[in-house]
Amino acid sequence: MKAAISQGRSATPATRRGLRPTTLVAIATLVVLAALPLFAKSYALTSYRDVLLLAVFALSLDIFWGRTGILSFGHATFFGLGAYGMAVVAIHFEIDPAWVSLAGLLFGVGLAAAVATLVGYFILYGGVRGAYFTIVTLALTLIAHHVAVGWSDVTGGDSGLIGVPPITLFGYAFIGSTESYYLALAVLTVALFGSMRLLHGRLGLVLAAIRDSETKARTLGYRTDRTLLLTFVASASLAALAGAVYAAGTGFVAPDFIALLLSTEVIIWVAVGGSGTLIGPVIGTAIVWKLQQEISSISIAAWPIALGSFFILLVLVFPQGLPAYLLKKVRALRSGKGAAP
Amino acid sequence: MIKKTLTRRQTLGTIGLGATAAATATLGMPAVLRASNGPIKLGFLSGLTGLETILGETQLNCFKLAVSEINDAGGIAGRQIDFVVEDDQTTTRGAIEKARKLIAEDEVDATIGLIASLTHVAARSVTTPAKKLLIYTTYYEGEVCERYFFSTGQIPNQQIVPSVDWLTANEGKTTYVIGSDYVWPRKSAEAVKAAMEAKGGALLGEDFVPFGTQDFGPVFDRVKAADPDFVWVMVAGSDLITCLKQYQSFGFKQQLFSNGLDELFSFAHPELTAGTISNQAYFMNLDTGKNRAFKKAYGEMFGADKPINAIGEAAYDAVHLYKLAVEKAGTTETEAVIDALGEVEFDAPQGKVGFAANNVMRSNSILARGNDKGHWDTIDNFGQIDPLVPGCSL
Repeated sequence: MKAAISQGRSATPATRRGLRPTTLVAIATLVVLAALPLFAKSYALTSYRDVLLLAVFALSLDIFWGRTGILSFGHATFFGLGAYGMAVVAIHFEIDPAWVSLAGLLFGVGLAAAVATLVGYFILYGGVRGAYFTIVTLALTLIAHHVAVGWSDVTGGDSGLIGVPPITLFGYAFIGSTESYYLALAVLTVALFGSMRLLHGRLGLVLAAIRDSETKARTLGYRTDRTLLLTFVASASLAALAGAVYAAGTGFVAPDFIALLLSTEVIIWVAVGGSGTLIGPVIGTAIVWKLQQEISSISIAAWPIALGSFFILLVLVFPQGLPAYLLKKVRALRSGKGAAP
Repeated sequence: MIKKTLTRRQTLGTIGLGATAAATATLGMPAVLRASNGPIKLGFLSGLTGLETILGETQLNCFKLAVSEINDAGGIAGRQIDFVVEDDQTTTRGAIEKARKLIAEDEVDATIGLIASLTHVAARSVTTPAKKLLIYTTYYEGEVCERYFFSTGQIPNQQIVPSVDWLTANEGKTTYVIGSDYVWPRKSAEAVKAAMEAKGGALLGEDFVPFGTQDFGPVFDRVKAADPDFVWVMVAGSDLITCLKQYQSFGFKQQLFSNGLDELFSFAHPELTAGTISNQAYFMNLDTGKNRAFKKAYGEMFGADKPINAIGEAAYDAVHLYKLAVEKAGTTETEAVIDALGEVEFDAPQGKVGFAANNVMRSNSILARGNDKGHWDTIDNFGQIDPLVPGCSL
């Protein structure tokens, strides 16, 4: 076993080399984020808090897509389940305010984990991979969206639910913009370093092996179905956690939290930041968010068009993500120069 | 978030008041206000894209018309009005996020607009806790009782109840409600039911469909089976057009009533609205001098032959009432403006209007039938009605 792992490492030197810079970038990013409240106005801070949670959401997709190479088009389902789980528990049940956040978090994340396990079991153990996996998960978002809109007694229908209380943990309420910002940052930090630690280790190598050739990995004795399912469920749970904290932060849920547009957006965030890098999607989310602000202030209708165009480019020109594409170009340019003289 | 902003604004307000008090003795009010702190800032928040696109633009135009009239006449007590336009996309998310932006980033003195009721619920969840003035300009389900919330559109006792009186007397005692699935149709259906029963009639059934519904067939089948004397439609925005088209092709004999129909629908689709009945506080056909001047000014600014509806007229009234209240209060400080809003009266295109003690505007109630030219012919004008919000006095 040990030999296999070290062999795996030497077989994929890129992972080993790529490990250090991303960790450094991650630390640098988090330090900047931690200092942000000193400079930002309180209104801007609530926006930044939302971006941090969306970044956690992007990170959750990257854990699965970036590492296994299997694209989930249904991640908004899990984000939405987390958010709706939180909101439904907080609004429809009369729970002691001190415990309602915890109950909501558990319910939201539990719901997403259960759905991910159920769906993931049938499609992953059923051998569904590649484009078919993407299509099945896309359908999942559509179904979830219909439920959110149609089941209006519980979900509030098109209007959603308003009045989700802020996160309260052990008697401390994260009400102010600074407090809730640091809560979001804490979630991001734990999620980021947790996933880095896991994925830079043995699990990451197994997933890389599956991505390169699932048959080979299976031949070597890895239970690839189970590994994929566990990763999928972990990824979905993290997405739900982001959704639940997001709903508590903004104070409401609406059907756009569980829609196809959000599923598409999260793929873009990951692609812009570079899939598989973990910190990349976090930065990608921030960049695209800023871009969205700029573009929608020119015209609201321009944003979906820009998004769609970028998505086509993504599929046709840089399926590995923007940074990987640029890096390749730069390398090609360098080696081209090196060869010329 | 809000706390910080409030403190700053309050400080500004206090400084402004101090300056006002100090200078009043020598200079007189308007000059002082001009000197106090520059232009007055209004936020316009509504559905400019999405489901209510059809209504949002006219509402914005009427808002702009009122602002330009006021600015051309020297502003509010000498201060010009600046405004920020935000699109809520007719979503809860859009309304909450944009209301937050208007209050915290743009620091507007008041927010005016909104169409679909889900957006007033969403926007209020921001403005009321922040103690900021919000004026809603669309007919709605009523039942709101908040100091910081005013409305210039009709509520059920001004729109639904008089309509039911006429409909039960002339069309029959039973109806069936088809509505979009959100707060306005759902709560209004309760008002329809109560009003029908008070007249010895009955609501035979109600169906609520999600936004973007393409096929009303299954709903119409149930309506056919229930066989009401008339059909009551509260489908919102562009979905209403889909609904009307299919209603026609379904070959219903029953009269269609919709308190969501107005000139914006009938100008675009006179063939669909001809023969239907609606009730609004304002129709373009209203023959008053003020209305003629209003239509002329609107035509000059945005093009003649453009439709204007009750929502637009109510937005126009809202800006003017706000102006009068600020002048009366002598400040833009929210609490003082709110106190003054209850005391001012505006000579609006629909007639003299002002707010009742429940912050809802006293408005007209006109029952009208669509004609084939896209206008609405008055069937019965119930005149101005005082708004009733049970248990609400602010």
